[in-house]
Amino acid sequence: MNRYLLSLAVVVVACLGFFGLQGRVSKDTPVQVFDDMDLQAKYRPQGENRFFADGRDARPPVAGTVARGDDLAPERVFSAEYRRAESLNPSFVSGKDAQGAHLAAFPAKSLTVLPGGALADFKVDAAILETGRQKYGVYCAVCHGAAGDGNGIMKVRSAVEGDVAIVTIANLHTPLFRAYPHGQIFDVITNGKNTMQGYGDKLTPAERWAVVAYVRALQLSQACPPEAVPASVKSQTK
Amino acid sequence: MRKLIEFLNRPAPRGNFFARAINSAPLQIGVCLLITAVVLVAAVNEYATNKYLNVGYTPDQPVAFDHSFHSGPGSALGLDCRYCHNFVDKSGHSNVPSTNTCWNCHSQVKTDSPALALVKKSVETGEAIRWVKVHKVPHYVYFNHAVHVNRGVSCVECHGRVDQQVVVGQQKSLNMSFCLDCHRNPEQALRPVDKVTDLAWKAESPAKQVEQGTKFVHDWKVNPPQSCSGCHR
Repeated sequence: MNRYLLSLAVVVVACLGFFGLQGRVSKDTPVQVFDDMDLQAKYRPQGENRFFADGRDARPPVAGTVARGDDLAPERVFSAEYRRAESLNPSFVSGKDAQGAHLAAFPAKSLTVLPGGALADFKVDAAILETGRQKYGVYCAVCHGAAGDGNGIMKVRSAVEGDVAIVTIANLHTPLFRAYPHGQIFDVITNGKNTMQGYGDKLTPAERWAVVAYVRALQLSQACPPEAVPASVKSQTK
Repeated sequence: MRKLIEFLNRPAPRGNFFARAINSAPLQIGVCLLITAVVLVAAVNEYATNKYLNVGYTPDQPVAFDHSFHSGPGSALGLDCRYCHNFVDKSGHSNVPSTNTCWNCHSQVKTDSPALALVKKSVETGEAIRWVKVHKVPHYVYFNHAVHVNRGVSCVECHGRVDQQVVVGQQKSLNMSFCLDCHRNPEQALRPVDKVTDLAWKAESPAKQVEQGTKFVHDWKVNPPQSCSGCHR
């Protein structure tokens, strides 16, 4: 008995030495103990696929198809007179009117299709501004700074790293950008400009319009005529 | 124990067929089996679950992206998680960013760094980088990132402090009981939606967490499924 328990203890110590305890860092692919259906032959988001030349599961959308989640009402999608919301309201996704000029005002209609088939109104309200504030904080403030003055972390780092190209980050409070029509700001967010890459792939059109609204609010905040400041706020300023 | 064995092995009447030591054999075998069983149960408990098999999995990636430098309020750059994982609040799948996203900044900063050679090649040719998936769940598990993130479940609940990791590794077990713990007591995990990507955030106290978590469960009508089809299909 003692000999058996001794050898058991040796096995336990050897196991602990060889396998370690929970949480040890390892580069080895995890072992699947029961791998029933754990790995299935199906297409996964951003998965790898040897069948296609580019090696990806994800396929680019076929022209004329409606992406899953774009429109969730099948009776409308499959009707003869169905048009994608983008084609009903193209200026909402381009920021330009029918003549190709940038919109001076926010678009009147959104891309949301009402049950009757008409498009819902697009109105800039507090909720839209809040969306714009959040999206600006995530995607824009990195370069343009929280105040829109172009002093985001990218400018700071470019000084640290010694890269000079970054000094082209725009200060949104200059007269040039104040004079931009809404549609042109939308266009720049969508497609980029100079060293700025487009964010059309990251933000939906409605979110981009929300950012436009927030940029306008930022611009107003830095050049607010005294008479436009509410009395309650004025008393707090010096 | 020794006295018990001596008692069992006490002198027996003459003519006994078996050796005296056999008297204690059943006891000794029983004790050995018991200890072996305890050791086996402990070994299975320690080694046979995701807590051992998956936690700590920290593979090398083709490009050594350092989260602790780029992401989180406490880092050098302070990027929000969503700057790169931009579909996390819109889609069930939280995307690994396209290399275009890297190039938003790196087309200007450290463009020619050898560490970014693969990214540069990808941007120029459109060829994908073969990132190594870290957080794996079985393919019959349908976890939806957007519904969690938009209802105040932080990244940190499942991924841990990625904002402190130089190389990302799995920190939580992500097994079924891990999911159910939270689905049964959502008030322990819910936080204000604007703090979801602030991985360092904590309620002032555990009691406060439960208090406001309970409020969120009520206000947002949080009703996490505990049935099979909630996550499996």
